Amino acid sequence: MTPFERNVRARIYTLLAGGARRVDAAVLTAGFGWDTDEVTSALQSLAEEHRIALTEDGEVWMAHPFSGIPTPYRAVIGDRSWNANCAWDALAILSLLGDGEARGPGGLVWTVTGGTVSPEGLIHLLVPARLFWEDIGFT
Amino acid sequence: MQAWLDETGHGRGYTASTQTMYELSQDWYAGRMEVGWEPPTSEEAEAIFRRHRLAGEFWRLG
Repeated sequence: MTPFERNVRARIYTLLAGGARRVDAAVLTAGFGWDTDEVTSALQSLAEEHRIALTEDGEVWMAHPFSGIPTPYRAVIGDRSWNANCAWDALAILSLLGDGEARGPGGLVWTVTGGTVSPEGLIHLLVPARLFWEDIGFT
Repeated sequence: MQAWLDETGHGRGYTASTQTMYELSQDWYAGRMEVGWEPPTSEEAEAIFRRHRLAGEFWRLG
């Protein structure tokens, strides 16, 4: 990653952790004085390097563990919430931001308190680790 | 889950406890939001997995 790409990547995480519901070149550029074309190029490079994933229209789709788009999985802390890519990522967001709930489809709720997840549960990963990025959306 | 596997025709992957995956996250995502974050090498990543008792073919990267 170039220094600029590093800054863009960090800014993506700051925005998503701050609760941004959409991150794209325009959002990243706003208030920062960055050139939109340079940001767009940085986003493409970051995606090619598998640091993030982009939607077809260039929006940040994934900056793991955050999802840039709504999904059935969410991390919730008090009255704040974040989109997650999957159950693991919902738990991972809590590992970054603090105790709360990881929620999923079908009323799934896991509570994290002081490093303990309750109730006990299982997560099934279909795709082996070396193939995670072969089709990150499927993973 | 078996019903989903039967319906989709997928083979069984890897099943881990939510506690394990949460604790893995603490290591895996440490520093991720920082400007200076560097992605782990394959060897470093596998070492992280092993620290959380995640080993074997499913977790092999190299």
